[in-house]
Amino acid sequence: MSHAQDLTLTEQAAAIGSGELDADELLTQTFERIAQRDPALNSTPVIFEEESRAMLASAPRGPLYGVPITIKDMFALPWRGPRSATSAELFPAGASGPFRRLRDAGAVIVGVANQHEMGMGTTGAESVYGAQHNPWNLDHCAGGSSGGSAAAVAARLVAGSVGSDSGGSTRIPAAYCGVIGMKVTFGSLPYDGYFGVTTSLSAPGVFGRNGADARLLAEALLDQELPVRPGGAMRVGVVRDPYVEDCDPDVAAACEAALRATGWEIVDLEIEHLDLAGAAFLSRLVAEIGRPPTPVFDRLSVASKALLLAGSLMPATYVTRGDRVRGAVRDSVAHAFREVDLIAWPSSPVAAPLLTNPWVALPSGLATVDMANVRQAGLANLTGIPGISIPVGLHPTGLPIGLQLLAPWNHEARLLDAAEQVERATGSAFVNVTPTAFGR
Amino acid sequence: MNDFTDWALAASKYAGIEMDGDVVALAELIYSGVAQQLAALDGIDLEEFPVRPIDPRHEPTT
Repeated sequence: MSHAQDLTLTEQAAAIGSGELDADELLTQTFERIAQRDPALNSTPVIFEEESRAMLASAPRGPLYGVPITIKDMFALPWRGPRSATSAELFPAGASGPFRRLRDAGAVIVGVANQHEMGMGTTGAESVYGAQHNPWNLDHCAGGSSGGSAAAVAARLVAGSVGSDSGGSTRIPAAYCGVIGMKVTFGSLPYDGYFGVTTSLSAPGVFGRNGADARLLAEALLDQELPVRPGGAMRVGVVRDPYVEDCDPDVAAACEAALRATGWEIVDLEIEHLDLAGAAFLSRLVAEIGRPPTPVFDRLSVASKALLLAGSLMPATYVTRGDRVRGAVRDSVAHAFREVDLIAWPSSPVAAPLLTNPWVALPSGLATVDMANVRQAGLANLTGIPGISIPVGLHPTGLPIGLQLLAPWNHEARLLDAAEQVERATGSAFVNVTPTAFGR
Repeated sequence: MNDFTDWALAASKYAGIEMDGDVVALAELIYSGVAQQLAALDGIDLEEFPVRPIDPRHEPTT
C-alpha cells in the first residue's frame, strides 16, 4: 500500500473501520510525513505526539475514528490555549466547542495548523512560527489566514484540517493550495474557546482534498448529517462586475469553464446594494479586531501592529452606517437566493502571489492582495452565509485556481453537492492531486 | 511629523503602548486606504437604509 496519508479522509476512516488500516500505524505514518515534508512548508509547527496517542486511546468509534486532523491556532485544546500565531496563549486551554465536536467523532488532533498572525491577513506571510509556503511553489504564499491548514492538506501531511474564516480565511488558502475549503454558516456550532467568538463575521471552516472529505469533516464539526442530493441540477447566479471581470483572465476563464462543464443553468445576477458591501464589511472588520494583551502586542509584526493601530483610530460612525448597509445587503442576498440555488465567482482574483510581494495586478490596477481577496470573500462573512472554494484549474504559472460558491444560510449540503458535481464535470482533474513540490 | 502621526502617537501613548515610526507610517497608509473605501458609507440615504435586526446565523426575516 502507498503511504497512509495518500489516502483521502474518507478512505482513511473506511480503512480503519474495516480493519485494513491500524489507527496507531496511521498516526505513526502521519508524524513521519510531517517530519519529512513540513520543513519546506511550515504548515504544522507544533505537533502533539503524546496528546494524540492519548486521544486515540480514548476515542469513540465515531465517523472519524482514528483519523489525524490538524486544527488552526485559534481553537482551545485541553492541553493548549490558542495563540493565533502570536507569542503567547490568548485564551486559556480547554475543550473548545469545535474541539469537542472533533473528539466526539473520534478524530485525533495531531498538531496546530499555522496561520497568518491574529488572522489579520490573507497570505500567511506573518506568523510567530514563520511564513507558510505553498506546496505548488514554495516561493509563493499558502494563503491566509488558515494557510497551514490548506498547505498541510494539499501536501498530504493530513487529509483534513479545521480552520476559520472571518474574511475568506478558509476559502482563499484553499484556492491557493488546490484543496476544498468550506466556511460554515455563522454560529452553526459552539464558539466557546474559539478566537473568533468576539466577532460577528467569523466561522470555522473545513479543509479536504475532495468534496466527500469536506463533507465528512463538516458533518463532524456541525454534528449533523449533510446528505447527498444526487444529480440535482443547479441554477447558479454569477455577479460579473467586479467579481469576475476584475480578475486575472486565466482565473476567470477556469472558473467559467468549470461552471459550464457542470451543465448547470448559469445566469447573470445582480444583487442590490452589493456595491456597498465591501465598505460595510470593512467597517465591521476593523471595529471587531481586538488588541491582544500588551506583552503579546509588543511582539507582533509591524504589519499587525499597524493594522491594529489603524483600526483603533477609525471613527465608529462607519460601523453604524455599515450596519445599515449590512442589513440591506442581507435582505438582497436572501432575495437573490429565491432566484438561484448558488452564487458563484472566483475565490481569489489571482493565483497565489509570491510571499515577498503583497501586491497583485488586477485589470483595474494594482491592489494589495488582502484588499483584492476580501473583496471576493467578504460577502459570506458580512451576511453569515456558507461558502466553499473548489479547485477548478491550474494557472499558466502552475498554481491552483479556486471557484467560490455561496449558498443560503445553513445549506452547507448544497455546497458540498455542488463541489462533487464540479469534480465529476472536470474529470476529478484538480482534486486530490499531489502538488508540484511533492512529486506531481 | 504630520497630523496622523501626531494623532496616532498621542492615542497610543494614552493607551500605554509604545509605537515606533515604521508602525505609524504603515498605519497611516492602511488608514488612508480603508478610509477611502469607508467613505462610500458617507453618502448613503439613511431612509433607504433603515436600521434592521442583524443575526448572521439566520436568513433575515424581513
